[in-house]
Amino acid sequence: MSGDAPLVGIPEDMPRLLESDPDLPDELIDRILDGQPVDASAPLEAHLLAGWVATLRSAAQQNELRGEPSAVAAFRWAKTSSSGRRSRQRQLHPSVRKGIAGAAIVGVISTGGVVAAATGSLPAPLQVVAHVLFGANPQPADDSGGDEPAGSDFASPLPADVLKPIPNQPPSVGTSTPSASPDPASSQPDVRAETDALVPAATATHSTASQPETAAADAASAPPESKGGPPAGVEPRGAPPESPGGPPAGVEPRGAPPESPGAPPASAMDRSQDPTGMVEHPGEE
Amino acid sequence: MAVGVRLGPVMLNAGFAETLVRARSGDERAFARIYGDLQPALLRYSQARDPRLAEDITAEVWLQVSRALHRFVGDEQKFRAWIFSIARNKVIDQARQQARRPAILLADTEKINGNGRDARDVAEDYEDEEATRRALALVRKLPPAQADVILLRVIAGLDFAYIARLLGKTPGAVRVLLHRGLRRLAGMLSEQLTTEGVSR
Repeated sequence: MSGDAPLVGIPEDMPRLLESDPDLPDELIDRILDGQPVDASAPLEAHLLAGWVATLRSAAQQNELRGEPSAVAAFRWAKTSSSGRRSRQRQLHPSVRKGIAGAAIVGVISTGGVVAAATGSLPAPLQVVAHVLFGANPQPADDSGGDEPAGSDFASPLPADVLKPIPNQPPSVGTSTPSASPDPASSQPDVRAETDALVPAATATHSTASQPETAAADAASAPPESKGGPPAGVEPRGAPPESPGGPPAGVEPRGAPPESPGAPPASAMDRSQDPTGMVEHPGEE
Repeated sequence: MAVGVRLGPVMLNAGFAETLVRARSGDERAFARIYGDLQPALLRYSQARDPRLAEDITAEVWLQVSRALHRFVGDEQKFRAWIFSIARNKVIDQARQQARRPAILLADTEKINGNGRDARDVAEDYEDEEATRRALALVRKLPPAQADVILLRVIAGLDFAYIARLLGKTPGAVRVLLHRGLRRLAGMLSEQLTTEGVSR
């Protein structure tokens, strides 16, 4: 049939719809949507449409609000849960910060102590102790000084054979810690245990041992929630993952603890939660 | 003679800002007021899209709103746009994962308890529910794009700019879809009236 040709690519019901759709002006439709009264002379379809709109905009029906107690309960739960979570996060940060700061300090001191011992820069008594502990250069820079350091002449040129092993022997970092202690003998076990717990931090600063100040600054300024996570031995208390029994995760504040394995994928939740970017994020408020 | 209709969807308007502030600070009565204002529209929107899971979808929406409400900043239009965008994506997710039930379903067995609305008798309730059900059933016969725009404009009460942003279309395209859909709907209403008249 010749009438079939123009219909290619057009939905099957389109011709019928084009024929049957009433010719309602845009202005009239807009008036209906705005809730303005429809004139009596308007087409029947306009009145029907106005009635349809009114039906969908009618006041709440009893059955539509029966979930209110549950919704309010969920609101109460979310309020309590989120405030508790934020509180735990606030409690977590100082402890992690302290841990990292402590690790940085111990690491820098121990690393500096290794270098000082290796270069013979320690005061004479400490240099002897260092020699006994890990075989650092036993001779102070100025032999004539005896037990007392010789003022500004304490530093000495570094024997090359003493320094060689240090960069390739991270374990010596831990044993060097006593050199930083005023009483190495009495405090050695405790300090060793502490430095063992902080090995990653100490090792990390070891690579920058030639600039201990820089390493200290870097380590101390690292935020506890940095991607590397807290140092080993520092337990991130107060931030357990969400319980599996919790509700589906919505949009969590950035930096929130990981969701439970049962929670929907983050991408799906993000899209559901704020697909249009209509929710202000904390940093944007 | 003129047919009077409600002036747009139910909204809190001037009282919204204050109600939102109170709800954000944890005021349950303020949250309940927002719920009472939006839930009917939200439920009708969901029913038009997926009548089987409408209540589950709205329950999930409110749960999500509860969790993120303290971070919302904006006016009532923006708030409605946010809520209905959540609902719309829930509907889409449900359609994609029909076999999977929602993770959390809020119990819907509670009775209304002092929400301040006038009580109606059962017969009137049934008539209203039936009228709403039939009105929503008509929307489902429309092409999805037209139905989407109509629901967001008529039920959610969003303006063209928000609808366009939500659907990734231009406001002009949204307006065209809306008018086409409503004309088609008016034709369907007329056909329905004719059919019912003949059957009587």
